[in-house]
Amino acid sequence: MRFSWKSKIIFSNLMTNQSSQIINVLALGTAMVIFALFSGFYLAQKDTLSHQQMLFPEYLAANIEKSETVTSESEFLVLRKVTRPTVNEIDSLLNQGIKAEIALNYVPLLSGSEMSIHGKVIDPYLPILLRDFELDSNQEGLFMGGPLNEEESTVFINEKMLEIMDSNISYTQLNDVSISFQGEFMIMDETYHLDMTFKIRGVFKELEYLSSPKIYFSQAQLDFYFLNQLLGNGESVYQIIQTLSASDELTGLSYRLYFDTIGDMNKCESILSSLEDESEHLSLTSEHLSRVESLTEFFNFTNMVVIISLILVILCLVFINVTITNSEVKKANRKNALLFFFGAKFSDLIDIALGQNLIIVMISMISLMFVPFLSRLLNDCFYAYLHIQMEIKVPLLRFQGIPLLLPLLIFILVYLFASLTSIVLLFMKKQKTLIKRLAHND
Amino acid sequence: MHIKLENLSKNYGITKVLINLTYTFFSPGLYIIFGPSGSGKTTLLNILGQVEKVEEKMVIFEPNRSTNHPSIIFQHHYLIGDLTAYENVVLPLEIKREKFNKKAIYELFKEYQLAYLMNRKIKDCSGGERQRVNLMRAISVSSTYLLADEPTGSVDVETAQFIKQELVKLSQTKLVIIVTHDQNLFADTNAKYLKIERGRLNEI
Repeated sequence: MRFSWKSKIIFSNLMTNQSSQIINVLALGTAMVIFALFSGFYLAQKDTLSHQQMLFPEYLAANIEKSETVTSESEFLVLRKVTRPTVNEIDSLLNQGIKAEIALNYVPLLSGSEMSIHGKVIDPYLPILLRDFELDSNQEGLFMGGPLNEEESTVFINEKMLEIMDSNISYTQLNDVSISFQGEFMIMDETYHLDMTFKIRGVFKELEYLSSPKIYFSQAQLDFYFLNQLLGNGESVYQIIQTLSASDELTGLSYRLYFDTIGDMNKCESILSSLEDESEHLSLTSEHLSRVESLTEFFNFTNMVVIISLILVILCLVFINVTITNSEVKKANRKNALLFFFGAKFSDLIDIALGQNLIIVMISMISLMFVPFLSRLLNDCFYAYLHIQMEIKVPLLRFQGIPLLLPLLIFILVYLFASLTSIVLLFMKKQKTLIKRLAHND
Repeated sequence: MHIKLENLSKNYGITKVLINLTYTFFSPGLYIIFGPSGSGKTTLLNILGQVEKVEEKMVIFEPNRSTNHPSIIFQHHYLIGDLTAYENVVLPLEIKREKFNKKAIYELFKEYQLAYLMNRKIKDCSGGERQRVNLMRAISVSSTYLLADEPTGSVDVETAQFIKQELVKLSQTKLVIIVTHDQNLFADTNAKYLKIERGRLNEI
């Protein structure tokens, strides 16, 4: 096999300074891995953010409240009064093509009651209302297990609540657990004694980021229960809560909205956010939406930190590469001068530098083989420390439908950078001077 | 061909290295330039080798400059350590895209009693072997005249004798100009001796 003289020089250069070349390969390889992992992180974030909203059993539910700006004497102080909107106000919103069901918010009654399991008081917890317990496919995906008790009064709990109760308890053993709620409330000058007992139907797994103990109630069951809770005047608790004033705390200052689809919910959110600047407007609130927002902000912050770190790390690696290339060019000065003397052109020296870079960058590309392993490690770290189910999968094989697009982009970027560095340094070394240095035995 | 120096002067800043040199080198012929360190020997050699630029009228190549190509034997061999002796010898030929016969190169190695190290890397060769390869590389390139800068400066007596004989042999067909401290080495030849001192050239 015959190699051209340039190939021989490239090989000779690579063999002469092996340790520097190894450091160069490591620096470029590390830069490639970091770049690939960041791409994977960025893409996973987008996927996680779009998917996270679904990681709640109550993903189609939210409270709707009315917010009103109250005039204040200070221009720096903005006061807002939150009340329950009227059904008509909500209807006119839903009439814009949004399919959703309006329901009463029983959270004040539930969170105002003392919760106990077999006499042991458990506090705090978060009551969450679901439309009913006919689980859709998304909710079934979040269902971890449980006795699926068919009794009249049942609740679901989340994993955090299960941990509080007893982390060693099995799903089937939950059949024997009863959760009691007892509380006293003043409703229309009458004391109402709330006393409810529920069996556990099952356990949901929800987004673990910022998760707290939760009990999921069925709105349908609660409506039925409170319709049958009659007060002294013959009216049911359900009817009274319906007619309470907009600012009565027992209303939860909101209605519960159950959307038919996630599309309806997103549409409602987007309509309401366009009205946010008005002095009086409706808004959707929910613990799960706040967590989604918090996670989005967390990702934005993480992105900023990662980008800054990425720039710093890549800058360090660039400095290493430039330093090594500079030292290589210096070491090759006499060899280049000799080649020049024998009749090589400057373009030949550039060809040699480009060929050398091609080999170094190609060897560095081997580092990409570690990316799947490192991304799995990162996923595990994210889950262990932040309880976020990230799925960093660097699309090395196919991206945007094009095979090997990402490795190709990385290769082109790194190769262009390395080659530009070599060419600039070669130009700076002024070959004419090199010949003189050679001739002067410098 | 011949090379004519016409009032050749060369300054480095305010230092006058060569002062009004006038001389003609005829081909074929053997010329030995000697003189103390710093006298301007290497500068003159570089000018003759067209490495150092001077006004064209100061160095006249006959019949013309473009058809005259030098070949230089460097004092320090400047061979490429990671290439074999053979690859080093043919490198200038490959760069200049000159056609060459591998068998002829092999014959040259045999003639220089170096056939055994044709495929040995230069970094594994001794100093004497390297200098002989250096000589082979210089003579294998097609050139009209040969310049040698201290060709025997760093080799043993046996190798020095060998190099001397080769240069003398070459001088029978082309112009060979040698810069050396060891003018006695060529005492038994019919070489012309030129002493360079304080920038001035005198034939001895």
